[in-house]
Amino acid sequence: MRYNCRGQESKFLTGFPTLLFVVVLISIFIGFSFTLAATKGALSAIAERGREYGNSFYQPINQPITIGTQETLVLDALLRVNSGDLKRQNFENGLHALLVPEPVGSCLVLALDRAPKSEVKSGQEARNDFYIIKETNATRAENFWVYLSLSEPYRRAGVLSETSVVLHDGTRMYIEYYFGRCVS
Amino acid sequence: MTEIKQSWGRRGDVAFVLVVVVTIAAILSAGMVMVTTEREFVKQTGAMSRLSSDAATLEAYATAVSTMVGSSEIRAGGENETLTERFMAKSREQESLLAGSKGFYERVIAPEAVQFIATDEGYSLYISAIPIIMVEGKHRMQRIMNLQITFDSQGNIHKVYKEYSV
Repeated sequence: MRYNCRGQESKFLTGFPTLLFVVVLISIFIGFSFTLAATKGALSAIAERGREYGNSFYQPINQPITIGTQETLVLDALLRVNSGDLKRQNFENGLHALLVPEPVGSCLVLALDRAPKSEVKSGQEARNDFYIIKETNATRAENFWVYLSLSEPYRRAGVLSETSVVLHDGTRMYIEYYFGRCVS
Repeated sequence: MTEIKQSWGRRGDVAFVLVVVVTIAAILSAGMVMVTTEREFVKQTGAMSRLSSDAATLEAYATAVSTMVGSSEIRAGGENETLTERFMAKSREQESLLAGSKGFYERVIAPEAVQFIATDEGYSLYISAIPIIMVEGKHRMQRIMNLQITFDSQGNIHKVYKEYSV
């Protein structure tokens, strides 16, 4: 009988920590599973009311511009330039008007591309890039990513913001933008 | 007697070995499930993040178009009674290549969805149940947004309210 008791004790001493470890592990696993389930639900049920709009509303792509006689958003006009539905020059004229109320030394950068984080491009590749500078008595336009001397200071300063949009045909396009004091 | 005791001890050993084997199997299976789930979660997080960003872009777009057309109609200076009709007519002229914008444009030309009225403080534009639907692969995100924009008497934007329902 004494021999059996010792056996039981030793089994208990080795078995109990193992079982305890299993229980702890399973609890962590169940907790993790519930966390995942809660995340899935929250994404489709966000509710808020009375919140004032955030910065995205004031992005240059959401500003209204006038193309000819029609008022439109910069984003819609930029996508129409890309599709060939709107002439680059007409769009550029609309962008110039955005800088009229801004102080001298203000710059607007807009660059549309199929890939994120643009690099130096040829003139043809940069047909959807716009760089508008407000000077003393006029505004001037350049192709942003054609000239490294223009684009590099902005990249180095980390002021370029990027967003992406999906078109009707499922294509994702990336837009880099900046609107503020010129960086050189 | 000795044989009986030995047999009894062996049975106990078999049970103990089984406990150890089952424990190790449980740990390994739980670990595998956790690792697999985590990898799948990382993949889903990327897709959901893009969908969330696309939805935010579409919401900002809907708000910007509504604000632009609303301000324009207030500044045009027509009769207050025709504000809603004029807003819907002007919205119809907008063209967009943005995915998901179709749902917004269908709502802003629906008479039951748009209310644009003069108030004591200025003007109030309310558009109900704008669908914000984004799809990427097998992932889909859907929100229904009620949008209210208040303007001052000059057509300058005052406040934007958004309300969501599932």
